Amino acid sequence: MAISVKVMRRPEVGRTSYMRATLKGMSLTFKHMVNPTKVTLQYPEDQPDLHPRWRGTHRMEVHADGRPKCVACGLCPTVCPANCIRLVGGEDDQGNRYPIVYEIDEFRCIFCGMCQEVCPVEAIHVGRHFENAEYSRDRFVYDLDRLMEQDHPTTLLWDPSDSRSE
Amino acid sequence: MHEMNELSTFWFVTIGAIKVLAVFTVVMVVVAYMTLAERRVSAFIQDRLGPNRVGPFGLLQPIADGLKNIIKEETMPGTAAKLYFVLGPALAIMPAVVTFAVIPFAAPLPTPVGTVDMVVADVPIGILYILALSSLAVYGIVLSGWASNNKYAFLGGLRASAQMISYEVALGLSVIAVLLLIGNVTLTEAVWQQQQLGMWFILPLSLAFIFFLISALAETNRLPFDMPEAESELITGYHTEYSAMKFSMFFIAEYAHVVTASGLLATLFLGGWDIPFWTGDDMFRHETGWIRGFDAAGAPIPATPSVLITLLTLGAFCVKTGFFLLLYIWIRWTLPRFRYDQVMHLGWKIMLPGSLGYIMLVAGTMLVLDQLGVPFGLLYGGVLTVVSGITTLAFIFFVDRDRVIGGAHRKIKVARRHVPAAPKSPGGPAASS
Amino acid sequence: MTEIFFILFAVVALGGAVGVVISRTPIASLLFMVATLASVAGIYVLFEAHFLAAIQVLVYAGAIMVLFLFVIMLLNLGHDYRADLRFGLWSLLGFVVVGLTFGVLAQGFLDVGDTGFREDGAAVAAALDAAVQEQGVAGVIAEPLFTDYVVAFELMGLLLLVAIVAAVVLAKPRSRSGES
Repeated sequence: MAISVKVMRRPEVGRTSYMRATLKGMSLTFKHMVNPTKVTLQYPEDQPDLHPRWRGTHRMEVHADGRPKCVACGLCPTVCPANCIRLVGGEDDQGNRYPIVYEIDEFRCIFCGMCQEVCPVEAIHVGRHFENAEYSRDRFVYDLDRLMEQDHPTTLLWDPSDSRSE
Repeated sequence: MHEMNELSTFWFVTIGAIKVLAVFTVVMVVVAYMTLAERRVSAFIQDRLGPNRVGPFGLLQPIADGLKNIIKEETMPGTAAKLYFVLGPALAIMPAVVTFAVIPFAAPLPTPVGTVDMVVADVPIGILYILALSSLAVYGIVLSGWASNNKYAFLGGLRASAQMISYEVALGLSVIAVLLLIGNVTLTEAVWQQQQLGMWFILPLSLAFIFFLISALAETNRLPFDMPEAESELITGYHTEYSAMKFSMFFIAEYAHVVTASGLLATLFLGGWDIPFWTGDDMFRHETGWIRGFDAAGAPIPATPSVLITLLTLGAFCVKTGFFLLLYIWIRWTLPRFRYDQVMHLGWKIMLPGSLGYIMLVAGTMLVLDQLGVPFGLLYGGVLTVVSGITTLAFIFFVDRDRVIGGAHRKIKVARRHVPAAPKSPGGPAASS
Repeated sequence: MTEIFFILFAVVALGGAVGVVISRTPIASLLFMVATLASVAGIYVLFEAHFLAAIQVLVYAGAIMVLFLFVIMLLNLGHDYRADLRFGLWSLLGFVVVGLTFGVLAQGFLDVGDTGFREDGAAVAAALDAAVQEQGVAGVIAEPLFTDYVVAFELMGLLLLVAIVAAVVLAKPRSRSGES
């Protein structure tokens, strides 16, 4: 959507008007007043169309058996510019690495989406979701379980059909 | 002849109290719903929906707002003059709620104990009462602006007082044209004379109507004249430091003023509770009883008050007042704010001489008509309508096309004239630098 | 009932008048003055002089006092009032003038005596009532004002005009010599 600029030219001296301009303005506002098409989105009932690249609340992808896909490689806390991810990795009997602690402070997060870009196994994602109000501040530190519970659509950081897009 | 059927003292007092309560309640409810209407209409004008969540169509919104304002914390600036800070909102709201008392809102109502005037107090000074009390309204604003000890609030208060003085003159003078036609100052008489003239005063006194409308906008501090609370310049002016219910009081006062002004406009210029094209509702307290008019010989024709007529006329009054309320909102969301010097210019240099000249014109026309022996009726009104119509058109033509009020470019033009001519350098601006 | 209201208004009027003199801030003085004027208007209402009451409130309490307020706020902010309260020759003169005025007024009241009414009072009142019936209150006030006292009325207007012109001259920034 291109931004268009409409230049309103000041009327020349001796050509401005008051009464007529007022009446003209009032007829314009009246037209809008009775115009039935309104731009208001009735929010909780009607949800806004979020863009595919909207970056919001995080979620963690899970395997079919319910384990997190994260391999605790440590790339996301390293790349995170806001330093909001806390990761403590561990290793099980088979030598698979998994996160013991994985926390994201949603207050510090700047939703740049770098964690999703850098993740080698596509485990952590930013989501197309913004309704994360809570009653207390400590609820904004999302732990692993909370991240795995999230079920909103994830962000497409690039358009797969367009190879030239980033 | 129909008996006067006067009330006894006991019933006069009782019914008076009931009327006071009823009118006060209705005005307050209308004020509450004006805030909702303001928000809804402004939203519609801007292609939005406005508050529609609390109750059906948002109808419970004013109650929610009131509750919020009551339970909010009252703040008091540390350096404020405490007594005056508290006194301010009270002084602002007091004149606003009592002015509606003299506006008649329906035809007389017959009751088993006598016929009741549908006006809280039919005082013999009618319009003067409204003018006097509304002129006191500015104290609340000025005082709160001063007591806040805040320069923006203070400037708002100063602007309010200057604006109030300026436009009160024009308001009073435009009312005088109406009073000339009524020959009295009571508002019941205003309604009666419009019924007698056979037309509403908006026609024979069209220019007075325009002046009154503009002055009323200025007196109630509504856009485009809301200088005292100009957000872009003074934060919110005189009520910058107020919160919760004290802030709410200013709002109630402003809207109560709007309601009163609308009722007054309807009464003075749109016939009050008169139903158009129907003489059956005409009614007036004559010395012989309730009368509907005078026959050809000048003898009074008695009228019979009835509940149906009272209800119908009440409806007519509500429709007319509602129209002006809507007009107020509509104008507010159409016009931008005037610049302060333009407000003063309009008040003193256009409205004042304009309304003075108009009084002369109306009085002169009436003198000629009276000398010719034209009876007070359609012909009388018709002549005045033609004269006023021509004057109004001439006035609009005169004011229009910035012959009188200069826009921003006129300022620039004036400023340029005073700037000494810069020495011309041969190479133009590039060479001089 | 009327007496109660009269006493109420009288107390407020007198108290306000005292308040005007003893208040520390000019704004408070002004508000006391408004209270006094409004109470006097109330007393007018008790005398059934509604028109006069409305004019009193409209002109004095409403317009002139607002103008006063405006001027006080513009000019007198942070002004130390104590400088005006020094006793000197002028205040002595003031006391003398006030005392004399009060004495003359008291003498006048004492001369009237107990009755306080003219002998033909009833006839005058009846004539006034008839005039009010015929012309309305405004007519009764306006007619002598614009006929018998028209010269005095116009002179008052002229006086106010002179005052306004003087105020404009005083308020205008003085043009420096050499400036065209």
